[in-house]
Amino acid sequence: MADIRSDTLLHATSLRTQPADHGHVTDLGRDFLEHVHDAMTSMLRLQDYWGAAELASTVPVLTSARLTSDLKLTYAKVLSLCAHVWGNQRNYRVAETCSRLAVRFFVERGFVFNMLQEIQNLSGLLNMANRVGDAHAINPGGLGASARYSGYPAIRNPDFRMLLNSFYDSRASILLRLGRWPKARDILSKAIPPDGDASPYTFAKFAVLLHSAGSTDLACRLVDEVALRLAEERQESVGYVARDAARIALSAGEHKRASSLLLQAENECLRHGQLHTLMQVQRLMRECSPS
Amino acid sequence: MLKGQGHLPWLYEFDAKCYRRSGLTDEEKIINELARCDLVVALYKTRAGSRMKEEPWFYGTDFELFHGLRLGKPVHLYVVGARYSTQLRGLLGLYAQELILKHRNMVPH
Repeated sequence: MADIRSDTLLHATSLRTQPADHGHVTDLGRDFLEHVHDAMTSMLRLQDYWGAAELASTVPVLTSARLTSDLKLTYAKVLSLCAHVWGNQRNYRVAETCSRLAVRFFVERGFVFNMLQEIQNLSGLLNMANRVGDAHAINPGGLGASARYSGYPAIRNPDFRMLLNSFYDSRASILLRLGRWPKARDILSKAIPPDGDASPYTFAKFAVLLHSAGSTDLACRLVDEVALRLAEERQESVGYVARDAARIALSAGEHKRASSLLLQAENECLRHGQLHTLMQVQRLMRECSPS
Repeated sequence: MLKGQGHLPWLYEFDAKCYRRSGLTDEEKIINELARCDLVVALYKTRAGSRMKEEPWFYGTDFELFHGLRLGKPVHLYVVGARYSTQLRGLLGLYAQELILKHRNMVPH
């Protein structure tokens, strides 16, 4: 298992990226950044977080660098991917640094949509890092802005609607952690479009919320027949969905089913390198074990 | 006070009058002046400001901060007070961080 410490990353530099005096960077390496961006995007599409983390560890996190505007945009996109990867690898400190830097570079380049996307990413990361208060403070600003952004008549792009759905999903996760389940359920229902074309991740979260409201049968059906099936079909968030299915099965007293789901979740998380979910799966496994 | 020290401050409430017959929108007027200035100082107390008309995803606060940073101006953010509206709290959670805004000063009273 790769053991990548945050200190190593923060001081990592590649051969192409030697910072000169006073934080001026003479050559961050456009080819290098574009290569990392393309390779990491492909790896994340395949959910290969191990490979993506290895690649992310070659990207320097330059907090006081002066970059040309073209390079700044590419660097921000790479940092955004790195933040996602480090968050999943439980390296929250570096993930937050990457994400905030990405926000700054998107602002400096005037890319509102990317900035909002990154705010959503950042609020998710803070929530993962158990900094629910910070996540709760940042999320509404981005949510409100993206709601107005997607509702603006001059902008016609389905990406904005997807961004808004991600914000709703993220907001629901934060409220779920704060124990405000009815509100979380209301918010999350907005993330599921009328045609039901939502991610298995959102369906699983909705099932947990239904379960918390006492609709255990409905929650079991939703998570087993929709979320898990969809996740396995698309090979997307299987570990996460199996974990939520196990959580529901565990509270419904179905220990055997919960154990098999947890085993499936653990295997998936280990295979893909999703250490954040793995930690929660292993915690549930300890709760599930007879000792 | 600033004028006495040789500075030329530009305040929307008073100085936007010179754009009366220009046909420019409020956003264009502010961006125009942001582009001309040497330094942007944003002062806030409790509210994030009103929503902008042409770019409604921005409140007054983040509109100035966003475009100030975009235009490469040094941006200083001063926040007076300790009770903020939800909108301002969200914006401060983002902008009042060294990685995004170097010069920020929170002055609770």
